[in-house]
Amino acid sequence: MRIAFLIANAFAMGGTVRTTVNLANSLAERHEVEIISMARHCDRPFFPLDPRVRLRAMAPTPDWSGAPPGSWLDRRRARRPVRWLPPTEAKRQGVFNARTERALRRTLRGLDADVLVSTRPGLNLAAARFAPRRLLRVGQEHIHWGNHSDGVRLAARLLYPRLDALTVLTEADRRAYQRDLRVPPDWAVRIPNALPGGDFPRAPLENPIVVAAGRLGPEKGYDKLLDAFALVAAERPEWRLRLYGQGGLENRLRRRIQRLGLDNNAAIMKRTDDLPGELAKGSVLAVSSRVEGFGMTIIESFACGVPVVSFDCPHGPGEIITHGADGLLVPPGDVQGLAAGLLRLIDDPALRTRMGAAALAAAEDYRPAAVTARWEEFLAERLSRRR
Amino acid sequence: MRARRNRVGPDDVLHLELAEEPPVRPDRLLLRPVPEHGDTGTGLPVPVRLRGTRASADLGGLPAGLWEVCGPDGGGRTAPVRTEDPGLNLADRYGYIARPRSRDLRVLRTPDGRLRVQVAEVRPYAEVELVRSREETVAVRGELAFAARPPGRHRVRIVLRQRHVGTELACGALLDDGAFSAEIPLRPLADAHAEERGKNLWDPVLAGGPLNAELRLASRADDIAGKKQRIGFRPVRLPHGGRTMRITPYYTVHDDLSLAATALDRAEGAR
Repeated sequence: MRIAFLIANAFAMGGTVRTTVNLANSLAERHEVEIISMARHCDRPFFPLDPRVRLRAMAPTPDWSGAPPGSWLDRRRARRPVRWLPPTEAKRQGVFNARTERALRRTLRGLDADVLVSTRPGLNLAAARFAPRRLLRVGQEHIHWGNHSDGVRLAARLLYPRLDALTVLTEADRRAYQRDLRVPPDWAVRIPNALPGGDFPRAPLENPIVVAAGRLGPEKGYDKLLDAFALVAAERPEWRLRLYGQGGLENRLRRRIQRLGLDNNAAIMKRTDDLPGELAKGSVLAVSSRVEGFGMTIIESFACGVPVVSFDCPHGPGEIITHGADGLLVPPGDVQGLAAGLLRLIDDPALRTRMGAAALAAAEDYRPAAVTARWEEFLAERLSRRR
Repeated sequence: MRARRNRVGPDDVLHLELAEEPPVRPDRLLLRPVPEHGDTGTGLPVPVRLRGTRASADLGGLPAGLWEVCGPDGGGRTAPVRTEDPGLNLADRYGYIARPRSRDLRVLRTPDGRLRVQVAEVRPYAEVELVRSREETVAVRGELAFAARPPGRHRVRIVLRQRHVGTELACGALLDDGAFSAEIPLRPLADAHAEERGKNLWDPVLAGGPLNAELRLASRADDIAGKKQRIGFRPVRLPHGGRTMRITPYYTVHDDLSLAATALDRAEGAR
């Protein structure tokens, strides 16, 4: 197959870029793969690309000082916003402007591929509008339908049905998109994100450390986690909580730690370049999110053999964790329940070991080879329908 | 070679539990210095003892630095040893610091799975395990690190030295089989506040009794470097001479424990 990915900025670092690059590299083993990046803000992509993957960018971002000099007309077009996109997408002016749109339309007209996979709402809408029908046009969604702005939902209702298929990360998402869009019954398909390639460390599950990871924002519910950990520390003062992440709530969380008397028990560890390495030093992963798009940290924790205690929030954790086997699910927002779940694993090393082994086995479904195989099977099946 | 587990014992012996018996039985490991500032070396051979899947190598003579552990790969060539072990066992670490020593060996795993050993020159210090801000005191608890632990109970002191000023204050502390505890009173810090310096910084050491050197209070046994940015303690607000003194325990950039005292103006004090 000849597969092209359409991505906002393949040179940047970020979750979608990482998963797209991982998938492209993996598919390049057996297929011709190309990445079309709407924007480019530096010389080299942050995530290393397999040399077999072709990469081309539509235009430099307007603020890149090292960009090759463009014509006066190019610069003028780069300042002109795209008017047909919903405002929440159009405001990403480095990605969506008259210059990148023009270059994209020309590229899509001449694109020598069987499949075009677009990777965010604005790009899905662009693919639906501009990609020729000879291509299998597959949209990707990493955001739950209900969490989109009204503008994106309206535009998606109009344009997404032109796409041949949509991949989503969870079963709940699949049902939501399928229900709210006028599309054929098997139009949306669940394909989870893949783990990064390479070896993962294996947690000995011996350190009295609970780990949590993710942006320090309200959606992660770290206020609830700290409240729960105060109950844990009252019973098991030797246990520590390590919170990996950065974000706007850092100072507020620090004050909460002090107010709860967790000065000696909780540390805000900032960002790490080696999350698996840090997860594997812990014995339990705690997930206190109010909402999860997928739960990448959960599968990374599984790959290290670390069991998870999580709120059963919409939508990822409940689909990844098998309650009682590789982790524990507690009702969303239930602080006492979260503390009880953590204490259950803290107090029972044999249960930790058993669940850790089950977590390792569950991680196999998310290995790059397994996820790539699902993509290959899905794309081959959809292409065969058109012949 | 691929290790499932690795640890450095109290005797500075590196113990490896290998995933499988190596096809080529090595009689030595090669410790290669990790290039820093363009410095590359050929590496130091270290004899290794192999029993089934268990290997051990005495790293007692390894100079300070960061070393990559290498052994024979499947083809018999020397290659970095891969490891699944994240490299932290807190119980081992607390056991390790319990002995007098001048070098600290730690095992590390790089993000791509290579086994490394970090060797650092160290001096005895007082490892802090708990800091608790109370009404007018700061309680500290911990144990002697890299120092001889005199058996039995002893009266010792915490000496607080005012940085850049030199004023010394002291309070009593207890040393019990190498574990220390103290309640540092904060009023004397407020009384000795040097107005001209704004923020007054106090560096505590453990001294006296059977201790033959001053031991700085610090937290270095675990793997968290840069605690100043990661761990914070509740400040104590102390009414003093018609205003409020704010005294906060904190970790310095070197992970030493210190106290910062600031006189608050009326508006800040009322907050």
